[in-house]
Amino acid sequence: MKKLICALLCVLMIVSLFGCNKQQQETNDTYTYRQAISSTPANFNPHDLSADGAYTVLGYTSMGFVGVGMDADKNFIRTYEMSDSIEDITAQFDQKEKYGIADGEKNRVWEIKLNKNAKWENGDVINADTYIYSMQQILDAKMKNHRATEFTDGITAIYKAKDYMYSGQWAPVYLNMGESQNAVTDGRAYDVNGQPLYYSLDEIVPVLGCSLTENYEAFPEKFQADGVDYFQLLRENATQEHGFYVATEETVEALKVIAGGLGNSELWYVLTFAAVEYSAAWEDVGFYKADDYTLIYITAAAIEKTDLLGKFSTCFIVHPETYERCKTQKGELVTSNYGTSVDTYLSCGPYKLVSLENDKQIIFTKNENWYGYSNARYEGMYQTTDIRCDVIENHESQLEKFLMGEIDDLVLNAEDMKSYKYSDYLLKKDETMVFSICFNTNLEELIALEDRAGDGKNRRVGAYSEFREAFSYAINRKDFTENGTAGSKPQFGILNSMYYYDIINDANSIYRNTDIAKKVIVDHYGIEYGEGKTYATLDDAYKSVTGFDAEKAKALFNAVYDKMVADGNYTAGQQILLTCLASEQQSLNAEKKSQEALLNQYIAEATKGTGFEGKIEIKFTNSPTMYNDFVNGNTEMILSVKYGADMSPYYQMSKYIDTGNFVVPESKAYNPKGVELTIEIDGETITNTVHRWSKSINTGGDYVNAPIDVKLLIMAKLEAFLIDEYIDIPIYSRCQVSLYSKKVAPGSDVYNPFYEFGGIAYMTYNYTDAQWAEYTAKYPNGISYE
Amino acid sequence: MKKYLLKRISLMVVTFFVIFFLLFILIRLQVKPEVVYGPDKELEAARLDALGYNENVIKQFFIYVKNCFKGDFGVSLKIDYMEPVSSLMAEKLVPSLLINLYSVLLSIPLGFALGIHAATHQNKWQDVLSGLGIMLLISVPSLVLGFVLQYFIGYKGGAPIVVSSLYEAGGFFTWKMLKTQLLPVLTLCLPSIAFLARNVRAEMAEELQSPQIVFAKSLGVSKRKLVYGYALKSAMVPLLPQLVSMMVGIFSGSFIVEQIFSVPGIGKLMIQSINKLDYDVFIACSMFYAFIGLLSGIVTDVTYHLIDPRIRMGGKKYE
Repeated sequence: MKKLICALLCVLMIVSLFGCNKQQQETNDTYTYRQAISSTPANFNPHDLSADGAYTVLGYTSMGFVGVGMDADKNFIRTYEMSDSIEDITAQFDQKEKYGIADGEKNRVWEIKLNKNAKWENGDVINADTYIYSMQQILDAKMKNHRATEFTDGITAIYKAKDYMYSGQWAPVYLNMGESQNAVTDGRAYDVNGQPLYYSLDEIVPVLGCSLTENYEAFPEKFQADGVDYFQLLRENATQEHGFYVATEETVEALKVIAGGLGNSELWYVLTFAAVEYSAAWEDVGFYKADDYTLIYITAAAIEKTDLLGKFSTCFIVHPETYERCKTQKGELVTSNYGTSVDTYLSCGPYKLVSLENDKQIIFTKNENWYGYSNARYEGMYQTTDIRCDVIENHESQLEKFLMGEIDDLVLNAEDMKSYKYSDYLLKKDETMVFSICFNTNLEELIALEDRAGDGKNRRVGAYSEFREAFSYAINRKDFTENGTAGSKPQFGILNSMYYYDIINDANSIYRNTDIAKKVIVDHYGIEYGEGKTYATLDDAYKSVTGFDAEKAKALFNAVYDKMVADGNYTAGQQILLTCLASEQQSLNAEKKSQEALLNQYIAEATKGTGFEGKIEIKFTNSPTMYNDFVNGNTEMILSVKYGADMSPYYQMSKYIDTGNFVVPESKAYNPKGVELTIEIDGETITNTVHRWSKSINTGGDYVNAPIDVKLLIMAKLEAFLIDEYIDIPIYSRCQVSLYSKKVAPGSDVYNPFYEFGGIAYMTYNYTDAQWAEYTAKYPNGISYE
Repeated sequence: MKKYLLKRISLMVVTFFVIFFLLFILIRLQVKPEVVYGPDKELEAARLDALGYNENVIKQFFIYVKNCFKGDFGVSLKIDYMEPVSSLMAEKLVPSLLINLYSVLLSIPLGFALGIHAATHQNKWQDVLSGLGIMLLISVPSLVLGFVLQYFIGYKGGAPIVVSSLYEAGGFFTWKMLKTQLLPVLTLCLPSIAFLARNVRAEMAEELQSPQIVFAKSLGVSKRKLVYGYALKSAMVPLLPQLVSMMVGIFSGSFIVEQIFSVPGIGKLMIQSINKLDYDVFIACSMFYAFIGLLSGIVTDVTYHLIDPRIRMGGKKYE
């Protein structure tokens, strides 16, 4: 019996050993995700974030307070990552006075409980001190970090962070209406508190929505009276303090005249401001630790929790010892080369850097010190063991590598789509990118372009709105997207279907799908709907829009031909050259070349039988500074692209209008601060400049807290203005189509604007690396994905 | 000779300085390195101000020259953030140098062999065939040749289609790295082989018909000695400076080949500096290429003299 038991035990031991071996075998399996990138980032310092590709590294190696994910039904969820909870504690906060919090105010003081398991890749703890140190570095005035604006301006601005960062510098605080008890004594103007008043020609005056200079350029007559130009008088004032003009007795008189031109001379003081010196010690800043694992984050203004969480998905902490080691002084600037190599960076995310060869390759492997690997919440996630990013710029090389099984995803171009459009491995991602044509309408600049070229070719057509309209109708957008892009969609409005106006409360709150936005397009193309009309409903009418009408285009080309000849701006038989800036890349790619050919084809067809027949040539070209080149009047047209801000259509709209914050190609066709738009809101007719309307629905604007219907109305009016005047001619909305390899399976094959396709977290594998090598060896001529 | 050399070097220094000055001024007068808007605009302006970009451009030039003498050629703001340009270029020089060196080492013997073979088989099928191949390789742009080789030898033939990283290859001088360098080296050396073969054939064909060779042949000198002992030696006079020029050229990168085969070399660095408006890197790269070009000219001229002392350099003209 003993022998039998011994024998059984031996068998059991042997089986167990084999079992262990098998277990070992399984755990040794590697799953490497390989991708092609266009370049390695210049840096991935979380305090900078200005370098292209920085998120490639930060996305794998860091985590924000919160992250994004999906539940079992693939619905979007927000998850706590580097924090355990974030709660509004404004009501019970006991230092309200110190931080400028009014009684009854809420959503100002946030308690962030930190994840106690979070560590750096070398095992160093991450606690409140790490965050405090990192924030002090971000706000260090000597470092001028790009990321600082996230904490000094905008909705996540921390109380007194700006005062701390800009200590010693002066800032204007404009007077509001009603603060009229000011005085002019001893030749100087003062406010009610006895503070001297100043004015600036370049600072934005809140009541105007632009600077005095800009207002003067748009409406010079409002600055003049009795033959005197009062703007010049203000400009010639030599008395300055703290970088601002002093409001003296004489200049107050000038300001009264200007205020009179704007509506009421008694309100002259709203054009002035008191100068305050930024000054705050670190102790005054609304960011401190309550204990080793609790932070208090006090915002400068109230912010909804959902908005705050949305902004907290990007990590800003740095490893203190490494960061200090990386600091250098260059001129008056203190810089840090933190996050430029393996030795100057530490991961706190699921993967860590193993190798970084500039302009060649980045390799990551699992960061065994990441808290997620020992947390049941992440079970089944992060199957990827290694990530290899190779710099391969040529698309052809990328395609060959993909078919050889050496990279795991590939963004397709228009040519590839002919072969792979029916592939089972396609992922389609609608993007926020809208491509549109803008013309330079400045006749003087166009004539100057002709003179400079000296080739006898006409370049003036863009100055005629009829030509722009004809151009728009001549383009067959459906054909264009099918043959000139990789799966993109025709676009008729300023914003495409990727802009959500209230996604937190309504996942379907897409601006483009609202009736008011649809009506903008339907009205633009003059499509009638309703009883007895061609289309019964607005939806039917909207669906029928193609934007293409060759006959209408032809009629318009004929009309503009006659007009130009009559104006002396075109000589019969003259060739027309339209140079279109179409790419910021070093050269035009095949897709852009084919788009150029298609546009030429459409224009040629639409001008047949008109005076312009065979005379118009569109020539695409590239420039790394294409937007500035266009705005500076160096070309006739531009294929402009705008994207981003998918959660804020109002902000996105400002990119077409706000010349103070963006390069706006559309501003070649109109002056946003000089063109007025009348909108009826709640029965009241209000006239404002286009610029002010745009400002009104963005941060700090008059209608920012208005009901959504009002904000959408303003949006729609602005959109209608831009397309009806052919200031912006939308052409297509980009849809990125990519192939994924048979080796991997994305977490979701349906795109979600938050988690996209699930990313590396949800990616699973059909083959281990070893199995994949065997599989690819069977296909020496490439794996088929067709 | 010494006087001539000094004169050429002085001229080179002056030319180099003029190019340097013009390049620097023209570049710094362009738009500032960064174009950003919104709150970042102010920050970026402050950064550039702190780095001295708002000084008078002439003052900027002299500061730059002064720094150059200290070995500081500026820093990269875009490609490799705050990395000194000198170390960035040194890092990129090695991959370029290696593929150029391998290419030269392959093209010289093969080019000579092919040229001599064609010359010794004039007007025979070997000559016609090699002539066709030479014309084809000289005519095809390296962009096309690169893609053709990448497709047929790489994708269809199983050779690596891009150069390996150092991390994966284990160093510059490993078998794996050498294997992945095959295609860029072939793309670079095939046109060079053709170019050399054409010149060698032309020179050799002329020499083989010269009176002294005909005379030597009549004396019964062996064909081998005629070709390699006499004809090749004479033909080397115009050929050697070309070889020296090729050797100097190994320091320069190849914009197109580096791009196609993902070689992180100096040619690609220069293209990147243009695309990303990384001005200090662009100025340093341009000056490097200008220096290589000027040096190559001097070395070629001096080599002429060294090969054949009868060729006088910088001497007075005989009346």
